[in-house]
Amino acid sequence: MRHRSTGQRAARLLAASVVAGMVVIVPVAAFATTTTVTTPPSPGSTTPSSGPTQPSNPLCAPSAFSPAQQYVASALSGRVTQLNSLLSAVGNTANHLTAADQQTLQHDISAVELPGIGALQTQVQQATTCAELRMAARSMVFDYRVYYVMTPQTHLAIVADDETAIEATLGNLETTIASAIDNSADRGKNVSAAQSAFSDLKNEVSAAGNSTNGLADELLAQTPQGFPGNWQVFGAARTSLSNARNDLHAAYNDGRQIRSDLQ
Amino acid sequence: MPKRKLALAALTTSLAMTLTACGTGNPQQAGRGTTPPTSAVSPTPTTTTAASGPGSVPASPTTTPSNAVIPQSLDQVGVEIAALDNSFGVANSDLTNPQGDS
Repeated sequence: MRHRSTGQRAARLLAASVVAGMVVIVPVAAFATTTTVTTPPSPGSTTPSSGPTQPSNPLCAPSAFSPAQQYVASALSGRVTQLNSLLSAVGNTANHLTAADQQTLQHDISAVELPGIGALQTQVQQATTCAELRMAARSMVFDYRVYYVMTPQTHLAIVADDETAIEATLGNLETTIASAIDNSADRGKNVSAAQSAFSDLKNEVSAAGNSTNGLADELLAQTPQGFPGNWQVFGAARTSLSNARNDLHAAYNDGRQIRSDLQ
Repeated sequence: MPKRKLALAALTTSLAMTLTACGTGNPQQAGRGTTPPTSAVSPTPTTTTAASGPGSVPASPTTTPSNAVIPQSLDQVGVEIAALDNSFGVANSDLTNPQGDS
């Protein structure tokens, strides 16, 4: 591809590569000093199938500078959109992010990532050489990691705090449930099934709490510079959150069972 | 004389209302001097007493057994778990199918 001599041919090749699904980000990462060749990770994979594994294969030649510049500008614009989406999720009051976690994420996104990407947009607009484009593209990928760090970090932290909030709600409900069971027993009702379900509910809530304990802090400690190592952290967090989610579902069903038994 | 009768009637009514409120407003006070409940965890009824004014009839308290509170709380948990499912789906998708390229 480096032998293509016109911008149009380079753009066509770029489009063909993307459509074929062979190489997703060569044009972006090619501007960095090393190329990151990415194909979509397989479902369930805990590691992204990308990394600085191949030498650079620059597409940016003086004759193809304009489409290359447009491509990087578009990639930066996409990241701004994504960061604003993350910021919106962080500020969504329907979520249960703690005030501290919300503040941390808002700071990272609005005071670090967005200004940084914005500065790169200016650099790309003013760039006149492929070297300048490469520098900006490299920084965009390696310094900010919008898709591979900021995005999972934000969404997983929201899930962690949501689960913690539900654990607290169910924990507070335990006293009410205990009273309700005793109340029914005093009235002569057989509450053995309700008691069994209540015992399970408490165990499930406890297990969920063990799975989510400290998870949000661990997630928020991850940085773009920690990639790809922190991909393992995200994968492990997903497993813990999935387990906690299953526990909370079970606890909720126990509560429904108790409610049904006491009626 | 009629004024005296009126004042006496008002005083009697007020006293009756006060006694009624004392008898129903605080279960702990009502239970003083009586045998304590045998159950270690007694139900906590929610007692609502309407404010009474001059000329009004004291409303009878409505007591909600604690097991009636469970549906409300559980329904809220159900809503939150449904929202959690959505949030988890988004986060899971970030890892299984990242939107971007880096």
